[in-house]
Amino acid sequence: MKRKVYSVLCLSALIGITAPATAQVDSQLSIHGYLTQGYGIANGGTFLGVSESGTGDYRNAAMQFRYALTDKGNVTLQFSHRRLGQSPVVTDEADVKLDWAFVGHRFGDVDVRIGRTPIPAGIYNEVRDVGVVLPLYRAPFNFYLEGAFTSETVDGVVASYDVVPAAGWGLEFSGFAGGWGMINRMTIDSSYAGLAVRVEQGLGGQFWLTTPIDGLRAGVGASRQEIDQGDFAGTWKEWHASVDGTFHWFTARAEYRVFDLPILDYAAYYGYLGLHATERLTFHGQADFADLEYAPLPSVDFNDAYTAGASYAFQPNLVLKGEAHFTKGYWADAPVIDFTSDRPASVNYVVISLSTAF
Amino acid sequence: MRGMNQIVMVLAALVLGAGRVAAQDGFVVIVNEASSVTELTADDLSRLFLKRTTQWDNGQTVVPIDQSENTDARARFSDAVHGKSVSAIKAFWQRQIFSGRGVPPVEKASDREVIAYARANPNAIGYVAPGSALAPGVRAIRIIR
Repeated sequence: MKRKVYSVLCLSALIGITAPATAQVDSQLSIHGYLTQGYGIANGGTFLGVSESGTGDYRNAAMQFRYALTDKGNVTLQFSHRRLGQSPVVTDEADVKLDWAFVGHRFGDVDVRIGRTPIPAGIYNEVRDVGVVLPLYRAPFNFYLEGAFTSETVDGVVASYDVVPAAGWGLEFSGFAGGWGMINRMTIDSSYAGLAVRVEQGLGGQFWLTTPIDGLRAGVGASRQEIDQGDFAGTWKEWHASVDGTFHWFTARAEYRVFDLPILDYAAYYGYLGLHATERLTFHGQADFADLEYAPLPSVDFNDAYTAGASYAFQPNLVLKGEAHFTKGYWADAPVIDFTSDRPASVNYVVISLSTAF
Repeated sequence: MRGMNQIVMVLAALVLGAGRVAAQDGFVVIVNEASSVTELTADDLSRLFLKRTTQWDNGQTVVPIDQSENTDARARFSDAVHGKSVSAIKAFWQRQIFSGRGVPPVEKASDREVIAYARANPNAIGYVAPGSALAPGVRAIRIIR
């Protein structure tokens, strides 16, 4: 019942905020927000909360308040709400949580943010809940691991530095340091559960190179972190590489990522192609893979996911999406299977969603 | 001698033509009268309005002023300066907002409001439709290609 009430409230908000809205309240305060409401149904099991019986308890929403303290400084708060059906990774998640709380200041070309701040990592990490920015409902799952093993934010400091080394070229460096909480998905008594862990001594950085070819950029990044408890406790190392081409008729993206954990290595990579049939209608295709090295087992083909979809942007801030996902591997919520002994499961699912922002 | 005159006339036409580029594109870029800026490249303008460049040479923070998204001047400016549609620029700002990196320039609904805002802010830069009456306190600048 509680979930139904939330759904109704969210849908009401969706209708409300798609009306013309003024984000700039006055010269210092600006208010922004986003909402994606989805419906998903699966075949062959449950994938990240999308079950065979279907669920509308599937959404991301946030409200952001930014106050300009000076012409170079600001304080920003963002509150968020997320539902992934009955997925174990959101079982203990608060209905509304403090997503961001940071003070930002620009020192010349260096932008510094202190507090709970989005982590710059890859193409999507900072915006992976923002439906109007994402081509599909979520950022590629094998790479970004929504809900578990990764974090969108760091409690610490993020600094970014922009330079123009030559006409047409751009170079952006971002670095972060601090800690964060996250969920590590565990198998306990033949079912999945989320274990809340704390990351400390998190440290990372990323370079983006913007090329003279309008819309084409490439990036590399790396990080390390210490996990305090659970099967994956210890030092994690990670690196990733990204290529992002956004052009008039198409968008092409590819990323590669490796996690070096104390007991295993995890590699994820994907390719995405979006064809812009018109300014509003885009067709999407994505192939997204994950491999696992867990000695002494041979390399495990951990998850293969293929996605086809289409989106229609009534306006830049009102987007309808439909997508079909075909997965085979060990990431599904159900059936619960053991990658060391069981055959991979095939779970297919469809998500229809409507996203808005202001 | 006649050939020399023709060369001079062609050169003069090119120089004068460069000064009218903005108007030919369907907008005129304006700054506060106190600004020392007299000309900018289209790339400079794009960086200012996308807030990739945030300071004038004197260290003051740039205050860009956009027009509302449904105005002709906004569409022409977006196409000529950014080389992208207004929708693409809005998508850029959505990404900036929701990654916590920044918010878009203030938007004004008409040429008159842009001029009034630029007049009141020494570090402002905006654009208006060609033929708009520029009030005292603001002046047009040249766009170099």
